[in-house]
Amino acid sequence: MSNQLHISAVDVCYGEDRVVSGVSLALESGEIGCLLGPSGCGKTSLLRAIGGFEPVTAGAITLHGRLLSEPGRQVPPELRRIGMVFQDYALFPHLNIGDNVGYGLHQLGRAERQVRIDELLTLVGLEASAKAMPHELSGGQQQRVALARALAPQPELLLLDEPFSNLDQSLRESLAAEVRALLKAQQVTALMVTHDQHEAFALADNITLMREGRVVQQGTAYELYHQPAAPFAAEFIGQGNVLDLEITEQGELPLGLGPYSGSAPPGSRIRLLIRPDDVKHADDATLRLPITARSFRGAHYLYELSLPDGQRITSLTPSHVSLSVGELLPIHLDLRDLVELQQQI
Amino acid sequence: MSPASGRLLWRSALLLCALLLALPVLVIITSLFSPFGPAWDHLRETVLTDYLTNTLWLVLGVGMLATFLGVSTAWLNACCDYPGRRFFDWALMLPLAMPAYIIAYTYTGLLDYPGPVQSALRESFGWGYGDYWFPPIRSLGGAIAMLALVLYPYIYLLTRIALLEQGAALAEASRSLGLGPWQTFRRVTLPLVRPAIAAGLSLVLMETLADFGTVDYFGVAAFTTGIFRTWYGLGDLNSAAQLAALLLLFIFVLFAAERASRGRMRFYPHSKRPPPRIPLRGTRAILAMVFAAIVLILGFALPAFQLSIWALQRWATTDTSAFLSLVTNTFTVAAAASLLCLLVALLLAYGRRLHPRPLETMAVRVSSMGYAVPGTVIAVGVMIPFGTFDNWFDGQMRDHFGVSTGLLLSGTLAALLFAYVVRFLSVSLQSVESGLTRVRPAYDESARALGDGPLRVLGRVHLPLLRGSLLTALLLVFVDVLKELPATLILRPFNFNTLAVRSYELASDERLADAALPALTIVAIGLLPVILLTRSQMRETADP
Amino acid sequence: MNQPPLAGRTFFALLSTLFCLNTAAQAAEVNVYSARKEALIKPLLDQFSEETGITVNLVTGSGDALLTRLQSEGRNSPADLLLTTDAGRLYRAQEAGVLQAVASETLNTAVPAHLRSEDGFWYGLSVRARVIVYAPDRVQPEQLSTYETLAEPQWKGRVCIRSSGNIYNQSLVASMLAADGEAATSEWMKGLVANFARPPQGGDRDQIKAVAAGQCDVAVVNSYYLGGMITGGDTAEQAAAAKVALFWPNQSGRGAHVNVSGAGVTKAAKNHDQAVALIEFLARDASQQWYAQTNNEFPIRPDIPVSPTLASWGAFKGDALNVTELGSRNAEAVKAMDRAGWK
Repeated sequence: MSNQLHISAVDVCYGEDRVVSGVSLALESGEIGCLLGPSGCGKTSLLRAIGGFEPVTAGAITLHGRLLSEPGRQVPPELRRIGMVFQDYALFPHLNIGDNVGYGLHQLGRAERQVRIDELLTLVGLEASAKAMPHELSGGQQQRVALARALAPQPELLLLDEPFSNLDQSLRESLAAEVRALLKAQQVTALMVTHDQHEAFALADNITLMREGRVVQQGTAYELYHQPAAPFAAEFIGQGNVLDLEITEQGELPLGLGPYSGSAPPGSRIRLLIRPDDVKHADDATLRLPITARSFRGAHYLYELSLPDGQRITSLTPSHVSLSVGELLPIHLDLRDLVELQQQI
Repeated sequence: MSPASGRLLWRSALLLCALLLALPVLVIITSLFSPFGPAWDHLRETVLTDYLTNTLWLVLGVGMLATFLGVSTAWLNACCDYPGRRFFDWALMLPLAMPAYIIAYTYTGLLDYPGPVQSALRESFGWGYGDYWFPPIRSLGGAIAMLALVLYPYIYLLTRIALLEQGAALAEASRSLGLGPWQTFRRVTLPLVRPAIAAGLSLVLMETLADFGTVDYFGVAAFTTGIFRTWYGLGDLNSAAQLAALLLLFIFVLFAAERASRGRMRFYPHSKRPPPRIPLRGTRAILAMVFAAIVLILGFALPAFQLSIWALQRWATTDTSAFLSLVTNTFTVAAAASLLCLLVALLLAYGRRLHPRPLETMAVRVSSMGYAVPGTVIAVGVMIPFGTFDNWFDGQMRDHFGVSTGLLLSGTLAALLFAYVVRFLSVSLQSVESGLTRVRPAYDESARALGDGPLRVLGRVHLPLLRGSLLTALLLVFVDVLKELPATLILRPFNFNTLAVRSYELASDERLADAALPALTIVAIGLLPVILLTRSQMRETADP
Repeated sequence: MNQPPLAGRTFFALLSTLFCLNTAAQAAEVNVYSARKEALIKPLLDQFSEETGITVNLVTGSGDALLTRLQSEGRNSPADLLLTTDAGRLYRAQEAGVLQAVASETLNTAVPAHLRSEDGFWYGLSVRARVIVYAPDRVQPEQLSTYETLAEPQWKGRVCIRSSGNIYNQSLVASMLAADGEAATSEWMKGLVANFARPPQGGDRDQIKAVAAGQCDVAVVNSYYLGGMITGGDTAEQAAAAKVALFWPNQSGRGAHVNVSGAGVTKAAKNHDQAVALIEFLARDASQQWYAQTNNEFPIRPDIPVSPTLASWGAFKGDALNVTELGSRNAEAVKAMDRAGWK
């Protein structure tokens, strides 16, 4: 199967400012990718470069073997066959919903166009709203219209720029799942930009984590969560405790944290990622750490604990174990998925 | 005050105010119900068709030319980048300070058969009369050019802002859906700035319909000249008023058509990111510069230059103290009228926002119709009811108390200011209303929920948010009053002259050079608010 | 608010400025509505004030607008005197009943009978003659005789005259209606319109300049415009004026068409005596000479000396038609011009 989208070593600059540097990325046909990262990491600029709204200053972007962008040459957006769902949807306020969806179908005849509009509105469950004006719809409905509009001309690639950021939290995850089902059913190749890991996990097959214009890590959601390549990845995805530790002469973890199964020699320093759900409460545990803060999470408490050397570690504990700040929490570490971080990013 | 009585107060203030302002227009309209005199048979048989066709051509021509100039310059300055753009950004507003009748005088001086341009042509080529063709300046075409050259800034101003506020996202969405830049401009950008163009255009057309000075000077038999001819020539004020009433119907239709075409569309400023400018290079940059420069030179620089030359010629013979009193008078009435207009516009616009019912909406519409009515017609519409009231009141006082109150309103500055408000309310109202629609209703509601009454909300929420619109309203009316001539001429009190009156008296006595200094002063005073206006808008739509 | 007194004072000061400008309560004054432009009358009014101590308050405007203002103000009108630049407006004012008759021996001697209303409602104060100017290099004066002959085919494409909206043309046509009758005048206008060198445009000075520049060979204008161009101090205008000559039409018949500027005392006048005094002042010889000198108009009586410029045009015979007729026939004239297609 050929690569649908291929991005190789792309740079994007705003004036002197290089906001994307040397990013490479590939998506296979029907695959849903995601550019994840904090704001200002260059993910939106990369997306806009793919859409044809920004030039690249190095590297190349190809879609289905067609060269779209390279330095000094770029195919205009309208000739790329790339659809885009904008952050604020950008529905045309002077056109009704049906006309918005039909906007990109200008090469079709009137009858064919109407068929396609109806088809897409049905797909997103808005067949009754064809005559409504954009401002008469709710945010979630507008989002679905934007999706239908972008899909209408059957683009070879769909770009989604923070597609759920204007919706409230409760709507986001259900809509994300809905959108994924829809994209999969239509076998659409898509690339989404988000700063929200939950959206990324819910929607994407493949995540590219970015920071300061560079790729930090690429992989599936599981890989990113459990095998982060850098402290940044660990901290950005899920809640992670990264501890700086020196292996004891006995080859164990210090501070009574337990045995060490890694390869570092005794006396060397390592950086260890420990997820809060791996810091488990056990009444019989020998390691008892003082609680410095706690927050209630429904079924769980998130306790922040203080290690003897002052480093902090968090624990997700079932909420029937209710202790106050200052009391000691008995814990043991589940180190089956022990993650050692080598890179110093 | 209880909410119910508060609401009643707002409503009655609004309706009373609207009724008062509609009075002059109503006086004119009621003339339609008096019998149509024999003058009508004469008009129908001879000149009425001319009035109608010429006015139609004038409106069409000015509308198209001003839209072309306004939209093209707005697009160049909002969507492109070329050398000198920052200068042209505000300089293109300058023709607004130039009254159409004054630019008509100067172009006549320049381009008429005996003028320097044609004389030079004849001398250098040895031509005589009839040997060559030269566009006649005093013609329908000339009037269209003059009016469009000084009125296009209304369209430029509003369209430019709309283009900047529209943001980049919608155009990008269109491009991503497979439409090229020109198709995108035609199908998205243009329809979206259409309300702005239409608002500007309606100002332009109303000014055109109300224009008397230019068409009269050029001898174009338009509706306004017809009204005067019927009044002055036939001595038939009633038929003249009926003609004016017909003109009003015309304007009503224009309004209704514009509103109907807008339909259910709602436009809110869309994205914060201003659209990227298309950098123009090489030939295109030069073409853009030359185009903007030509518009500016024709609409402002050349006439201002000609006026300056004339004014310098007559500088020695100018009576300074008399001239200063002209400046003071002009400045005072313009400032007072623009403030009054602003207050009334706030009352009406905010009142309608509080109670958006058909009656209020209708009242606001009717009260702002004066803009399209020629100043002379408004003056008559003010004079007749005021005179009637004054004499009735005086009669009552004499009968019951044995004292004569004389004329309380007629012939006072108050009557003149009232006429200005009737004539120019529309300008400030449009500005205030468009500002108000940008204030989201949620702000009102949250302020009310926090315990503020409508008046306090106006003071604490709207006024601070509307600062820009209020300034615009103030300055636009100021410039308009500065240029206003016919109503001032008819209604002013004893020993009270303005620059426009002086300039007109001299020009109509065919002493163009003597008229130049007051005319130039009007332009100079008008420049300041125009520049202020442009600056404030540049800040509002701050673009890098 | 801490300072109501100041705000209050300002408010009342403003109110009184707004409303009290026209409550003319001082002793010796006279209020004038003038259709004559301020620059052309103010110096004389100032001189009057200086001599008599009577303050003159002035509003200028078009004759019809001032007349409408007088009518709507009715018996409370502050105006004492109406000054106009043509007899038609005075006639209309008299018809509208806003003027009152004045019996003044001084005026009756100073103003010839055909230049005032029979009952003393108004008096002419200066004479404005409508003449023919021609380009001496292309036109021999012998070719010219009357207004009527300008409709002859020999003038095809050679005549300049301003639009029919202009009161001077309306008065001229009114005088011809009185002299030649409706049918002949309409015929004449059709011929004249066919002879136009260009569509009517501009003012009288523009017609003179067009003759000077060769756009047309003859033009019909008021004589004082030519005088103004000669004495006005603008070199370009002087050069243009030097290229044309003046011809007095209809000298062997009824005489050149003349109109008057004039004045009448309003019915509502509260300063009746001062108003009469002002008219008498304007009619006296010294004022008449000033008129002739400054405005290049002719005095009301031929025996009053005129400026060298006016004198150089020679003596002329003016139409003795009572100028009242110009007013009463004005509407008729406008309609006839419309029918003849005179734009």
